[in-house]
Amino acid sequence: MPVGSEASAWIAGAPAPFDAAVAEAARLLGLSAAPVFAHLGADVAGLREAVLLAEQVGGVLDHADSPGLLTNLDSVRESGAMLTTPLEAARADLVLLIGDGVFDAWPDLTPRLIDRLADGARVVWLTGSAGGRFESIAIGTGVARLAALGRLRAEAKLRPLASTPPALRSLAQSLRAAKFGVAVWSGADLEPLAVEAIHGLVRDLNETTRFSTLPLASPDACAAETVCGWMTGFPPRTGFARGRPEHDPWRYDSRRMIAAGEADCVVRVDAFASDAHIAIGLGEAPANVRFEVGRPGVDHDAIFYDARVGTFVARPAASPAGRSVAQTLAAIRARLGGPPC
Amino acid sequence: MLTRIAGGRILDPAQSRDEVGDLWLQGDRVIAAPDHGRADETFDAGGCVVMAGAIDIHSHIAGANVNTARLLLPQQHRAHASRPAATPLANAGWSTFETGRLYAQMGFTTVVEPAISPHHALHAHLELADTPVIDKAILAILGNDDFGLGLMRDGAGPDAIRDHVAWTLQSSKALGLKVINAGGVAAFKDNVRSFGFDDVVPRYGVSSRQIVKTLQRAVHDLGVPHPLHVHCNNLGLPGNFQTALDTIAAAEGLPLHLAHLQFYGYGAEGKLGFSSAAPKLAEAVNAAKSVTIDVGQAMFGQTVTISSDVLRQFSARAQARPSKYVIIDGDANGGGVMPYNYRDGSFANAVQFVVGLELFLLIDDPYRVYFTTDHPNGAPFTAYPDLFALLMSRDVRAQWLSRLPAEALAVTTLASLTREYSWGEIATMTRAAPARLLGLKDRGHLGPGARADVAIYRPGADLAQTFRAAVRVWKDGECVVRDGALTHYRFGRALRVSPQPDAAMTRRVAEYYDARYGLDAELLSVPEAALPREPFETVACPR
Amino acid sequence: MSALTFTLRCPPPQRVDLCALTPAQLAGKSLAEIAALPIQTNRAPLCVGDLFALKDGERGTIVFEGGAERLDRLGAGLDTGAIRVIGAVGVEAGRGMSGGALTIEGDAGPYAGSGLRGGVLRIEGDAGERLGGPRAGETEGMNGGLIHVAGHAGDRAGDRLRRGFILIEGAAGDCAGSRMIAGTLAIGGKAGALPGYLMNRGTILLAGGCDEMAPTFGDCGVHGLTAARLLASYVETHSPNLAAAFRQPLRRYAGDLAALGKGEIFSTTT
Repeated sequence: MPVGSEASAWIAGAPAPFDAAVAEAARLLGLSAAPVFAHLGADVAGLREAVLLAEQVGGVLDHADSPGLLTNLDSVRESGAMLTTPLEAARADLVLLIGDGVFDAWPDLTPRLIDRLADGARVVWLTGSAGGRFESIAIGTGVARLAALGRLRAEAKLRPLASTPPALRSLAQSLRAAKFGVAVWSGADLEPLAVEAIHGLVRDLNETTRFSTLPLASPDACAAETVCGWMTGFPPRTGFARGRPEHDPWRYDSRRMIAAGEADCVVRVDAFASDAHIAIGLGEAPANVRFEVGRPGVDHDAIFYDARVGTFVARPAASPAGRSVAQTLAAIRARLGGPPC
Repeated sequence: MLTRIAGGRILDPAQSRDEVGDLWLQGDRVIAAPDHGRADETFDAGGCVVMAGAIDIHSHIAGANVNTARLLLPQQHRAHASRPAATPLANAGWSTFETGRLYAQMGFTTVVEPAISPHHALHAHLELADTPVIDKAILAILGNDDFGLGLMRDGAGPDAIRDHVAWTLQSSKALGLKVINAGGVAAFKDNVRSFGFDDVVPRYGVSSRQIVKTLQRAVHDLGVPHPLHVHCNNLGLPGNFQTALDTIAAAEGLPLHLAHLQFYGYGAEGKLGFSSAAPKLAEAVNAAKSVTIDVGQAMFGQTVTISSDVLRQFSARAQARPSKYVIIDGDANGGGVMPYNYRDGSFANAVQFVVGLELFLLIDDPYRVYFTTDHPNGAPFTAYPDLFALLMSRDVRAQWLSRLPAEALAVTTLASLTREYSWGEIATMTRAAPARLLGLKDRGHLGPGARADVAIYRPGADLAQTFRAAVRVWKDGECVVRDGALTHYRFGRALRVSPQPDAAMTRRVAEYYDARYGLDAELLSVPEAALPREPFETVACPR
Repeated sequence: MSALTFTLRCPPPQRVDLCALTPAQLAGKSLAEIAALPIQTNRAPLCVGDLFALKDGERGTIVFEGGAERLDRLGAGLDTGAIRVIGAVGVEAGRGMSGGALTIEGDAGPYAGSGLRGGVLRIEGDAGERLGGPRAGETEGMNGGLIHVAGHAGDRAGDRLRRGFILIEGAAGDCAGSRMIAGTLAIGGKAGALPGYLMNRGTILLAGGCDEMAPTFGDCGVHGLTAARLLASYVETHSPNLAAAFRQPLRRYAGDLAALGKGEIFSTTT
């Protein structure tokens, strides 16, 4: 947000000079035994500084959307996957949407993918319960969805099962007949084993035809995954308390840590909120220190993850204003004596 | 700051210099010995070898596929021991920070990431900008993209192809052009499962040969110093030496670089239908003076293969160890990532190991054979020191060969090869030659005006250790490595060529992006000022 | 001589990593050296001696008196000797064990016996989710040895099991034996929904039925199976109850047809 005459930093709810807020943030993080970055909504430069600051203070890096992100990633890294990009997916002659949350995960799914398919391409939506906008088959959620996806995969292997609903058997035949099919879902929406079943189905289909997947997660979670990946070797839920990055999706689950009283200082970075900010506080209490920050690509030049292309894009600021996440976090790290990087 | 490196053996094949003497650095440059030189700092290099910083022309160190590999294999870098952290993220295994550190400690100062799809160029440059110390560059991939293949299908002339190449290099801020299984990846999108040099891409009606020849000509006409960098068809398959021979023959006197030739050095002889064809390839390379190659040596151990040859990676999926793979159908080339374990008890892996060494030893001219393991596909770049030792000592080779299956040695000639690389040949292959190949005038040598990228080694009985831990390394005149350990970060730059894209082609590309993707083509370009920490440095195109 | 004993002094102020406290790693260390071993997982330094009172004893056997949900990786990497915990433990108890015996006289958290390769892990209370299962990025779960749970187990017990035995006397959560590669999983109580989901090979015994069978398992009828009797004799010493179940007439289901389909689920018919 533009700085103007208004304050851009607060300590305990009261406006404070930026330097004082930086000093207070550094003091809190320096005293903390278990600082946790519970959310990482930032551009690439901001994420980079968050990783460096987390290392400096021995903290844990997590993202509010890690559950969906890791549901997608876990299946990939435990079993492998066929993947494609948002641009390439538009070449599909069959798009298989899975789960009610798929449009929530990518609000532009219709204009960016569905509307760009060639004439004659087919869209099938495996919904939870409701009838969808497209040709849809309600398969339920949870155990029911797992059972249905298992059934679909077996039918696609030409192993007919008793009592497979005709619509599902016919879909299995269509999947086999597709020239290039793409399955699309949101990791936040599906059971981990459902994702595993879909990847298995797609692997099987590629024995005879071409089929791929487009697993969706929130764009800034994808950015955090990628930047943490090249900087530490690991995606979020990575901690530095013992001097080296350690990845542990169970122990470094920030929600679990906060609920279990294992975190004594919580940092939330959200440059994509309407009130772009960094908040540093104890547990779920109101922030002890808060910084207003610029919006990436609006208030400052930025590189961020763009769901339309599934990779990073650069966007210059329309009218530069305010401090970025990167500048703010770098100031805190410098205050803590972190070496330049 | 005036630095004198005193009394070392200065080994600078580009300047035909091999003598004990002094080397002077001022600022970020090598200078001639000053008349009234009083050095601010003197390093006694007595007993040491002084070389320019090494240059790696083909190492997959950054970008979307590399990062997918990191995320796919957390267990391969989980157990990283804590070390005192002099530099941020020094304890992060397989991070960009580790990559820069490990390269610098071996005396490498410039590394080329050779396979970046243009749409992922910004991502790759972001990772390279987080790779400390070394200078970097990318090669941009064409040859399986719809727009480029469409131009060829529609009979666009050489000027249009050239303009498209120029636009791509400019847009992705690349140092050169790469083609990976030309047409084969596009064909795989139409479910083609094998694709040779004269096979024709469905929908586009052009053969792999036509694609390679067309792009080779375009790169040449643009005056891009680095010739078209070719990853041939049929990688890894028995009998594929013929594909490489056909590609070499197709160079027809124009410059052409064949990547990781080891992976094409396979005959189909012997009981197991797999043998070394390295002598045939070496003979062809020796005869084709416009052709350069890098080896892509395979070394034993766990690694991961990362390739934009999606067809090949898919075809090899059953060989993944541990058993998982990621295949990405990309906007053009995409990628395939597959963990793999080269075992010295395996006949096939032993043949691969031997084929690489045969190529090194049978190709005469160190200016035309480049030192690579196709990191990490043949082996991680951290295996380089062992490989230097293998090339420089037939005793070391004999020790390694004694561990290999006898039937693998039976289908190769390696045991009969006595050549040992000299220090001078190593310096040529890793310094003088790659600088020439990439058009880097101020790198790869130690003449006055050269960039002050200097590596010093102390030769010892253990040659591998000698190369693993440089005694000193200067980058741009700043000493960054002492006794094999990085002392601090500094950040380098990204090298690229900057051909001016033609206005009509820019318009045509913009129309294509709008029609096909509904996007501004600029969205997927790398802006000049995107990476303030790491500025781009333009390498001249002489034509 | 009694065992080397660690008596918990107070509730752990943070999660602690106890993987260093195995007989092989403590051999030759003085009590003072052991007390000084770091076990913290956050920035607040914490040593063994801060959390436990130590009593020296025979080093091949270690006893923990008192447990807590924050005691992680207890017995991880155990290769020889015995560890007994009188109380509960946190995550990854016995992870990667290759030999010896780890007995937990209380509840264990998630991922107990993760990647077990040998030895015996006995949990007298309940086990959390993913018993014996792989951690992030691993393609295999338990790969040998035996896990015996006297109580209940959470979801996905035996995930990616590749070799060895998992014996659960009580109930199991959903998707027990998910993605099994091979090996044997026996459940005495009721299993949750979809046991054996996406299993390739291996054997699951359901002695107490399940909430819902996956549609991708084929009913092959009731048999008295030689293979099952062999398994019975193997598990006899650990679990007479499950051994008896293996000897009953069993209904055999083949699956998971969504995956390789060469696994089998045996279910008691009463």
